[in-house]
Amino acid sequence: METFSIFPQTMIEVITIGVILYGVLEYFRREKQHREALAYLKENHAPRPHRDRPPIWKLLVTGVVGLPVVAFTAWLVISGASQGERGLPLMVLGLLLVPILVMLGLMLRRDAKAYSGVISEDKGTR
Amino acid sequence: MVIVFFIAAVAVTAVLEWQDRKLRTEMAKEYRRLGIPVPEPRPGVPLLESWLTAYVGVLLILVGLAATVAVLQSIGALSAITGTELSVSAALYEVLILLVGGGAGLLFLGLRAVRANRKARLSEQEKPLASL
Repeated sequence: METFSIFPQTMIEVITIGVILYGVLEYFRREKQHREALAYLKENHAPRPHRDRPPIWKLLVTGVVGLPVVAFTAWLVISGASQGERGLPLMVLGLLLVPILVMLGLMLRRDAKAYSGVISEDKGTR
Repeated sequence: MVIVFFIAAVAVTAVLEWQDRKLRTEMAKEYRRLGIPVPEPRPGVPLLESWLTAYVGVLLILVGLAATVAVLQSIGALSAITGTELSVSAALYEVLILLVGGGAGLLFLGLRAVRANRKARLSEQEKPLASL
């Protein structure tokens, strides 16, 4: 009996190690954050103000994540359309990715608004 | 191997949940000691990202199931053409289970974040009413 395989076993091992590493790093990051918040609370008798990531960082992350998704969806739809009836599954997969594009677009708009708010605040226009 | 992955994923999630509860209790104790009202916990992920996570989860489940069906069909067709009996390797099954399992996990996390966001929004709406 022949065995049919296309994925290497090491892929799952790498993912498992990645998950464990993430868990360990996240545990110690949260502990550090908690110690800092407790120290602030004891010193100032007030909760530490929430430190959000800078708007430019959020905008960049959304853009960097969005670009490959847009490119992949476009590739799926174009290659699906060029193959005629045989490309139907690719077209369907491309269409299933459209809601992700819409959500990424909304996120991009939200982050761009936040970023432009910071710029106009810096210029004293708000 | 996929069982080891699932055990690792469940263990990491359980430890992080336990740590979150422990740290929140410690913080609440400190707030009470200082006589400051305990603030409501903020949702970790915004609403839009929560829906995105849930949708990616659904997509992964669909892709995993579709890939399983496609692989089983092509194995059957290949066996018929070549006349030899082919079997799917355990590693391939594991990857397919990983896709569906990962999708289910993302769906769960996404929906949980959506619920946390709704709860936070509701409590924000109730605040001005309570102050009246």
